[in-house]
Amino acid sequence: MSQVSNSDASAKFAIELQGVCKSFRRTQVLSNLTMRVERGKTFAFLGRNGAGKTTSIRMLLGLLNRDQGEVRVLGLDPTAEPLKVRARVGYLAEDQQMYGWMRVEEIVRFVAPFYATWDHDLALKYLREFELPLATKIKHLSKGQNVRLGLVLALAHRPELVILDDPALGLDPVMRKQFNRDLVTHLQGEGRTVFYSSHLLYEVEPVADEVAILDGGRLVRQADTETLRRDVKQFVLDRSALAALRDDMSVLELQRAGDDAAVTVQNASAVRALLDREGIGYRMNDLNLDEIFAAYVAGKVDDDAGARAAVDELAPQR
Amino acid sequence: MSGVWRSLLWKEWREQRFKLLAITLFTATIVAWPWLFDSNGTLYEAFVVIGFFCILSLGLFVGASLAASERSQRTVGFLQSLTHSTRRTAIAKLVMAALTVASPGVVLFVAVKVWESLGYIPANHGISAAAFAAIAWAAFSFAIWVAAIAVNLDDEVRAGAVGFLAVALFWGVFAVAVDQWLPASEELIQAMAASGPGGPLLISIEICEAPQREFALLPPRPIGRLVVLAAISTLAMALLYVWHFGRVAPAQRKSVESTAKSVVPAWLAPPMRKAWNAILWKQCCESLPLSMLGAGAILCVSVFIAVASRGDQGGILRDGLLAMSIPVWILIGGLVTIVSGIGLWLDDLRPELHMFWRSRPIATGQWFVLKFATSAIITLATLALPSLVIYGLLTAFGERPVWNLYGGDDWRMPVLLALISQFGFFCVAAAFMAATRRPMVSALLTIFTAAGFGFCLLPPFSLEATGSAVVIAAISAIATAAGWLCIRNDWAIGR
Repeated sequence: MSQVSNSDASAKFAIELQGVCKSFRRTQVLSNLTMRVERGKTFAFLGRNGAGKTTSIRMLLGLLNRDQGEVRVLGLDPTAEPLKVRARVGYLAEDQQMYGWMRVEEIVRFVAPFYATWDHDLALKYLREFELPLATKIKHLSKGQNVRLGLVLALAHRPELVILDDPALGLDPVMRKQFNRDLVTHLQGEGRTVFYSSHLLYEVEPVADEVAILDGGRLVRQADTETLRRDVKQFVLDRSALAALRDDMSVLELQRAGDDAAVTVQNASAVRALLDREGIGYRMNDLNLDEIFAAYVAGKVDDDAGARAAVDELAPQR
Repeated sequence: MSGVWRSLLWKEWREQRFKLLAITLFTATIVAWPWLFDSNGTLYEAFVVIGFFCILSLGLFVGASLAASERSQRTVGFLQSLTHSTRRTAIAKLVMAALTVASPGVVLFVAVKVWESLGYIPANHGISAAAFAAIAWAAFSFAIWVAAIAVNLDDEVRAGAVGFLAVALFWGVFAVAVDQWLPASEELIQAMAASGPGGPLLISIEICEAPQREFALLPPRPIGRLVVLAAISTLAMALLYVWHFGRVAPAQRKSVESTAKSVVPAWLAPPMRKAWNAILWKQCCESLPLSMLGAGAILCVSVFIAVASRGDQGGILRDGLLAMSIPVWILIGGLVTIVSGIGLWLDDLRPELHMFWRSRPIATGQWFVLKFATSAIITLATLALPSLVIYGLLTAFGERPVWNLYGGDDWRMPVLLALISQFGFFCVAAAFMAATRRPMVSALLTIFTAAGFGFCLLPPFSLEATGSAVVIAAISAIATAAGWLCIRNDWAIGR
């Protein structure tokens, strides 16, 4: 096994996790989690509620210790050097609350001295762009203003890595779109690494370069968005053809569609080639990230054996 | 009983049962004391401790919890969304609060009866069941006043501070009124006292004094009228509480603010220079209002009492005011330091705020030390200010030196001891808050600790002043170390 902490890897990757495990008492929250996030990319970290996203993020910030494995953030071990990591990372938590009695201006001035790289002019620029009222107390801000203020505090020290944990949770659709627009404008435009955790897929789809899907504490897929869209497709075909193809399809989800079967696979190119070669009629549907995610985490098929069993079950009995 | 009532009472029971258990165990420990150490003479001291504990501390903290626990847990919205009225929840809360404040009285009553049967208490020293009931009622009355005055405030700390200040002001105004306008009418004075917060205590005093009056061949005083007045007052406050409970619209102001077009100025004040600067500023903003409120209460109550008793003193701005301000400072200051100790971590350890500061490059040690030291200094110094100002005025006007008042240099040790005790309250309350993250539980545990220490002053330990100071300093040091471990490692009981 290669060491994840070597300098080349650190220069290339903003985040590296190798075989990370974490349990709370008897509940295994993360199981052998291994992934890497390239610098400069917007990385969507997807999973259902309770999949282990927030636990992973807390480990990245050195707020939780891992049971096993290795974690590197910007080349640093967050457990050993949490303050150095946090100084270089911008973090916006899920449903972020701030001290309600402080005014917007006060919290900006309060947070500033904790960061050596704080750019006060940049903070003012963001405050203006986000139309945040400086003299208003935080407890009187709307939900959207609260999230945008959190973003200002996460970005004004020009972090190399920005970690967003379901930041748009609770915002209305218009605000969510605006938030994502802000994100694209201010982060992707400047080439920062963004680690975006969410369970709202349509939210991250337009901005993500790469996607990781976490389910039950295990990483079920990591790929760049285009590859994922290319690899994962749904084929609608006659159920009688299923049995013949079952060993060659990497099935994620299988549904009955009248007399036909709708099969979502993660090796679409190979399956398409096979179907063409065998002369089996089919219809191929492109899937959006939402549907791909659902196929990975909500599909009934857990492994190859399970896939074969599901195919056998759906295929007509001879 | 309908399903809704069953659900509401079950919820309250689940939330309050450990408090109830803790209070009952605490009381049982107190009443076991004379038996354990074969010192019958401490029965009445224990009774006084229990009475004081019930009326002031328990009433205050139960009242604060009644007033603000749902808001501090952000569950008011959920309660409002249920199909039944929030007033039913309020009534269920009152039932559990009554049980909580009654439990010490019940335990004490059973213990006294056991002692009587064992011959520990002479027949003519027995305390009637009615007196116990009146004490429990007094505690409930105090709690319901605090709850009615502070209902729907943001958290228990604010509710406790506001409720206590209002009650203190009530009694201060009462004392002045009695002194100014009602010197002749004892009946009216009694009626007013019985109607006030904790008023049923008067009924228990009347009940306890009845045998002595009988022994002195004096006619018995009728207490029926006092009972009716106290009942009307308690009921009125309960109705006020039930009427207002949960009737909050937190989003109202927010929406007004957020829809208003705001103009962002072109200039932003420069950032704070250093991290320690920022932490100091934040802690000053958090600690000063409560401390100043406490100092104001000390000054007001001292002035009221001094004015009320000016006939026995040499003048308002003389030894009378100073004499009053020191015990008032010791009493109110003790409670305010508990509230301040809890307030030290109340915001920072809220689940939704906790991650905000922990995820920043903030050294936990620096955060802990600066917050703790700043809050302790501000609280202790501000609370001592009224007495110091009065002392300064006395000295400036060349009035009688203060040491004559307390007999030579003897005043120094009690004042020093009170100061150390307040620091101890602060440390222990802050440690319990860090460990439990629950304000009401922390307050009760702090009071238990203080009462436990109080026993060290009784036989067989009978600690002297120096010994007491050493023990308090040791408790404070242990509590501070425990609090630090909890904050550093993000430990909390029951997480």
